[in-house]
Parts: sequence; C-alpha cells; structure tokens
Amino acid sequence: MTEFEEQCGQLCTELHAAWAIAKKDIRIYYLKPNIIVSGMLFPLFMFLAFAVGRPAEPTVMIPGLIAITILFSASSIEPVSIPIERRMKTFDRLLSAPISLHTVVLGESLSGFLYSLGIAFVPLIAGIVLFRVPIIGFAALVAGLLLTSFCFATMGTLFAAYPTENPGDIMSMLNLVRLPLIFVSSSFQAYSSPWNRSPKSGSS
Amino acid sequence: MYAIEALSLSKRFGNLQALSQVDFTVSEGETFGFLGPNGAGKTTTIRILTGISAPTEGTARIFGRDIVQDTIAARRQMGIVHETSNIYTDLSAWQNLMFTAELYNVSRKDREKRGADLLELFGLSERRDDKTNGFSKGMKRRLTLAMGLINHPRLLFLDEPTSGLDVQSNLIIREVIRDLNEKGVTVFLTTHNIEEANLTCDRVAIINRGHVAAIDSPERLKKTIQSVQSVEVAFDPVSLVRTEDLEQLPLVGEVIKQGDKFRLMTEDPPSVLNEIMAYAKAHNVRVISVNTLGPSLEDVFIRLTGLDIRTKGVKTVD
Repeated sequence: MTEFEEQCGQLCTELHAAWAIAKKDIRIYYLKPNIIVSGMLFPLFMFLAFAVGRPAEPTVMIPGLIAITILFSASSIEPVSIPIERRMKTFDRLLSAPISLHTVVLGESLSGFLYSLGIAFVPLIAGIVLFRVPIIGFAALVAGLLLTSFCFATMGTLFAAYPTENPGDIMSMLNLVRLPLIFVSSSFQAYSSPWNRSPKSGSS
Repeated sequence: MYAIEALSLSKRFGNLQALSQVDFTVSEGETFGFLGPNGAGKTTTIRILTGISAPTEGTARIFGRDIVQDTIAARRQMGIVHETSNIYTDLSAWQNLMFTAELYNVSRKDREKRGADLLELFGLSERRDDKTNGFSKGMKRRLTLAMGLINHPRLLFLDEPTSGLDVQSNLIIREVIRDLNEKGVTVFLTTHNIEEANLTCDRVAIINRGHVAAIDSPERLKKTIQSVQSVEVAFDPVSLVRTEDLEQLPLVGEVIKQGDKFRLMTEDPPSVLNEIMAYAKAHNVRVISVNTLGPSLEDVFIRLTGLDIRTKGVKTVD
C-alpha cells in the first residue's frame, strides 16, 4: 500500500469517526429542552420582538430571521453537549479514541451544522410560501446557508473549549458575542442596505 | 517488546507534582496492578498512558509506539475502561457499543457480532435496546467494560473496575479479566483494593504521592506487611474495657478504638485471640464479635514507605 493510499484510508477512518460523533449528538441532544429553547425559540422570539408592529418588508425581515436562526441554532449544540459530556466523563471516551483531535472537533461541529441547516429551512420555506420572498441567487443562498451554519457551529465549539462542566458558563460568554452580533450585523435593521432604500428589490 | 514502557514520567499541575519520575514496564500478556490511595497518581498515569494527557517530562511507549508522537497508532492497540462508567445514558446499550466500535473503526459485520457476543458475556443481552439511564451501577460498569473490549484490544486499561460493585458484577468482571489474560491480553489495572490486586495481578506497583514505592508480585508484597495484621473485637459492655489494658496484652502492638470496636495490631492474630478471650473472662465482659483483618492499603503504605523495606527483599523504586 502506498503512502497516499494509507493517508486516504486514514482520512476515511477519521471522517467516519466524525460522522459517528455527529450521529451520537443528533440522537442525544437535538431534543434536549435547553437546545430547543436556545436554538429554536430564542431566535423566533427575537424575530417577533423586532418584527411585530413594524412596517418592515418581508424581503428584509426573512433573510434576517434566517441569519439569526442559524446563528443561534448552529452555536447551541456544542456549548451544551461538551460541558455535559465533561461532567459525565463521556468526553474522555472521545479524547482517548484512536482519532485525531481535529476529528473530534469536526464531529462535534457537524451536529450543530446539520441542526442549524434543518432549522433554517423553516423560516426559508415560510418566507417563500407565506410571504412570497423571491430567491434571486440560488447558489449564493445555498453557499450562504452552508458557510454561516459551518462558521457558527465551529464558533459554538470554540466557546465550548472553555474548561467547565456547566453549560450555563459557556452560554453566558457566548451570548456576549451572539446578542451584539444581532445588532452589529444589521440583520433586522439594515443601516444602509439597498433593500432599505428600495424594498421591492429584496431577496432571501 | 513490552506492552507498556513508562520512562521517567512526570506530571505537574501548576504547583502540584502529580507524578514524579515514574518508571515501569509491563510485559505482553501480563496482568499488572497499579495500587494507590485516592490522589496518588493512578488516574494521572492512565491518562498519560492512554494519550489523554501529555507528561510534563518523560515518555511512554505502547507496544513500541510513543504515546505522544504516535498517539493514534498506540491507541489502536488498547481498550480503555475509565474510572467512571462513562456511558451515554440517553443511548441504549447496543447504541453505546456500536458508537464505540465506530470510533475504533471496527467493521460493521465485526462490530455487530462482537457487540452481540459481549452483551451475552456480560449478561446484558435482554436489555440491549433499553436506554442505559435505567441500568444499575453494576450493569453500567459491565457495559463500560464491554465497550472497552469491542475493538479486540491487545492491551486493556482498567481504572478501578470493581469499585463499589455488587457481588455478581464483581465476579463477572474478575472472571472476564482472568479469561482475557489467558487469551494473552495485557491488562493494566488500577485499584485501591489490595485484595483485588492479589486475586488478579501477576505484578503490582504501589504508587503514593506520585512516586512508585515498590513493584513486585502480590505475594512478595504481602510478606512485607504481615506485621500489620490486626484483630478487631467488640465487647459487651464496652464501657468496662480500657484501651490501655488491651495494649498490655502480649503480642499486641497498638490499639485503635473504632466506634464500639477495638482494633489490635499484631503479628500473630491467633495468639492474640486467646489473650482477648482470657481478658474478657478476667474482666467479666462478653466478646460479641471478633474479626482478623489483613493489612489495609494504608498499612501497606506505612510499611512500604518505612525504613526496613529493603531488608524484606521487595524490589523498591527510589
């Protein structure tokens, strides 16, 4: 077996292990109450707080809602799962397995990534079907969904690296970043976006 | 080739020196016990040997593979049973086994057969699809051991495998360890139970405060601590018995009052039993229970870190 084949074999093994970790997280954490609150309900209520009673166009609000949903859902799994696993000592099982630390990080992040993609489809479909928000760049939309989901999932993993066994410690620090991000990213209130000046040309 | 080579392992956490220049080797097929009280450095040693934690100084090799430089290859040879039964309580026994097998890259066909065999071996087949949060402590421990064996390891690390378990789980686990050893699997066992080490280990290392105090076979270690055997006795009424009087009995070294009982340290328990009976008769008190006790781990440490260890012929580690 050549060195290249060996490396390919090792890569497949690592990817398989990452997928196993993601599957484990999906089974255990997706329906945990604190994940549902943080990943689904929090962005919904945040959206309602901004949207209700305001004459904002759906073409502005729906992309914002999708972005906030991804931000919160993607970064909600690991800050809960990793401290809990530290407390239960199951994280040692991952750390002592014959896989690299990168694989553990990838596997953990993958569950947040897939979770947020699934959740993001709810406002996306609602925007298209209920509010008739047009998609003007399908490839850009897909790329945006994938990229933001992946980045925010890894951001959640990064914060979960803080050595604590209490998810609340990590969530508090994470919210110091996530909440200001809602405003500085102008997801709901675009400071000088072309859509504010010309609402009819909006897109999601 | 050794299964484990620990070469001058040291580990420091801030100001705390958790391990200091720990050296030992474990041969292939050997059952090696690592004894010590809580906080002695047993788990730190296991964490270093399994690559979870890096040593501050020194190195360790698993079947010739450096655990720091070649971690993944070294880990492929081993199964690990952690001190805590670290199973996923939201998953079933079967899902726990299959997840571990996937982490160790065990093929689907092999892991399904091996998983079914292990559940049968550990008496968990009937509960295979039940979530493990309803399992007893013993069942969780047995499942943890099954997860450690799913990848057919050549070397098995067992961190306090039978601590606080019921008799049935204890017997199953000890039987499995013996069986593995007969099949040539190397077992590295940490425990604070010297009797467990006596029953299962070919050789034992005693660690205290991060230093290895002695390495030898259980029998040779036990020979060094015969003088710290004791007789535990309870009298009725206890108020008529004085510690000072018991200390005057022939062959009794020290007397420790423990609740309503007295522990008489001696090198000759049978003779002391006769003295106790004579004492009870003379003082008109009744002996309501008597037990002869082997040396506790604490006794072993006092002895092994004492002055005359070399004269007893135990191989010590400076």
